[in-house]
Amino acid sequence: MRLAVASGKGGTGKTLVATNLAWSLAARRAGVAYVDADVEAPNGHLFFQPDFTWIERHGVPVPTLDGAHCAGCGECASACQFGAIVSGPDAVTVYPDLCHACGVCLRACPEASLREVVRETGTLRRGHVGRMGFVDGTLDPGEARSAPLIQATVALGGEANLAVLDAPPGTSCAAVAAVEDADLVILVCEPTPFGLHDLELSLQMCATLGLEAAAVINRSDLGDSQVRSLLARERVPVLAEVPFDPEIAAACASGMLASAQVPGFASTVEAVADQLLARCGGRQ
Amino acid sequence: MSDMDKQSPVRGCVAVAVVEGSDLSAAVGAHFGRSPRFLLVRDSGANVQALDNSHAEAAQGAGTATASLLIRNGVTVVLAGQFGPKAEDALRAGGILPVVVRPGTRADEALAQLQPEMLRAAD
Repeated sequence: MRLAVASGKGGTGKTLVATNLAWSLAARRAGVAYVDADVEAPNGHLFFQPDFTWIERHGVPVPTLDGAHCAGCGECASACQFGAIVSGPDAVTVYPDLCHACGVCLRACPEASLREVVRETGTLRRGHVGRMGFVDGTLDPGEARSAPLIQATVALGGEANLAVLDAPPGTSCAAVAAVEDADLVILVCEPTPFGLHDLELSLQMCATLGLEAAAVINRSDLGDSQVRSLLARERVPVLAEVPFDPEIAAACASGMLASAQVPGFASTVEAVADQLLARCGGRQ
Repeated sequence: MSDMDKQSPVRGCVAVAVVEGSDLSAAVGAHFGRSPRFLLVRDSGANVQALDNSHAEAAQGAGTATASLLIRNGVTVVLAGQFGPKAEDALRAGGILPVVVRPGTRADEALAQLQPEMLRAAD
């Protein structure tokens, strides 16, 4: 069972919900893991300070000619849809940061001269916090494409019975890579015009991917009612409403789980955890 | 390269980035990789052919993909207002000389200003 915690808008409380929810679920059931797939800015580890048992560099394949015979036919460059390979009279030039690792150039080469080498783009870590599993991925600075590392992070976390995925914000390739195999996408939103706009995008993403969505409304006592109207209209269940509370902000700001500091918030999170466990019932 | 090209004063093929138009009165475009069209000029301007660039609106890699397009079309010199670093690298690797021209210059005027050695050097 994979629960993805996502939001169109950054700063809505995605990591707040994901970390506290994972911790609460782990208290109720074995085999729970928190998986930080927000690889451009992973900071779930700051709340948990996990014991890491496994750290490995992650890479993506890129083509290389590497001294092999090249007839200069240019088939590889014609086949590449991303402009990542250019075939000149004397050499084939590969632009690794443009490469999407699709491998079509290898198939296109009539001489079978190209082969793939691994280009490292980030780091994967696995560990635990008490009995809760912990996985995160960290993209190297300046790296443009995050999806392969996110997929690897999600796959590593998916080894747990119940994975809570902290997804990147937005609705682009990065967010899609994190949520696409989730059994439920929990959209953290806020009742502001910005929150409404980005929630609409997130709901479209879920609909396009055929994913079930639920919502947590953060800072629910601020703003207006448009987000609630949208969720009602789209029949998206609201798992919880979290009113604005400076105590929650203070706990987050000091790197502590808010549910360990703010009793009201703790009971909200516990109620969400109970709903989710009841939902997943027999299937793990 | 055909024998005819080798005998002409302008050897090879000069590509001019343009936004629109299909003759040498067209204005030189500002950006190489994002140029929707190139005029392929052969035989000192006697032979002008428009080549549409399907990579102009690519999310990424427009410059390198456009360079490949020109390599496939036998271009030896290309004129545009600006070249990205990867595009310039790819052009040079493909034996094409990139030449920066003030955007908006008429194509025929820009071609007239080219140094003959440029046209031969890239052949």
